[in-house]
Amino acid sequence: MSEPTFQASERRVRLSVDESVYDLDVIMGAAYLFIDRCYVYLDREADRRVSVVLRTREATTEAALEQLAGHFANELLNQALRKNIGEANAKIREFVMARALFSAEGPSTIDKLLAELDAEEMATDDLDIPVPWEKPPGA
Amino acid sequence: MPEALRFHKSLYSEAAIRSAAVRFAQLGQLEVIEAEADWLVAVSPVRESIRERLGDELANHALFETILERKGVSP
Repeated sequence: MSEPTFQASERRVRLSVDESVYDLDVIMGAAYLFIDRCYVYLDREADRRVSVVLRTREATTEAALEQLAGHFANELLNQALRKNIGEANAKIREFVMARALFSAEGPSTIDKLLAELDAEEMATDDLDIPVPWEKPPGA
Repeated sequence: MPEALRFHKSLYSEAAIRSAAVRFAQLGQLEVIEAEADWLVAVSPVRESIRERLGDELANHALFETILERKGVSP
């Protein structure tokens, strides 16, 4: 079964998560967000199956434990989605970052050289060498 | 023999467990022992009344540091 299943007992609820559906980074990501709400303990239940135990800091009801397990399951889905979007957008992110860094440098070396060439062409020839296609001075 | 907490090697980092054991050392004697698939932390709390809480807090800390390590963040 791939859906996270759970069992609640006094102050603790245990979810069984299939790693082929939610990989370990996703499980860890969800666990990270629950560390300040309750005690979180992970165990290897079987190959590709992780047991997540959430234990409340204070006495609680079974309904509250079921709700806690439900929130954790929702967070698994949220983390999985974030991971997928992050992976899908990785190339675009790299491209945007490269563009931003490139333009932050100012004009490229090629642009600078072209500008220098333009400036040279616009400048007067100091040696004043006559060329046949130009009118002679005073003509 | 003191009660031991069990942390599976595929889920918890050794450094995180050792760091947690050092952090809570003033609350009891904590010994990290390597087993085949797990890290065991033998706990002898300074007071029996804090045993459960000490185990819970130590486990949370070990998980927190494991996650930071996986993310490449120094605690």
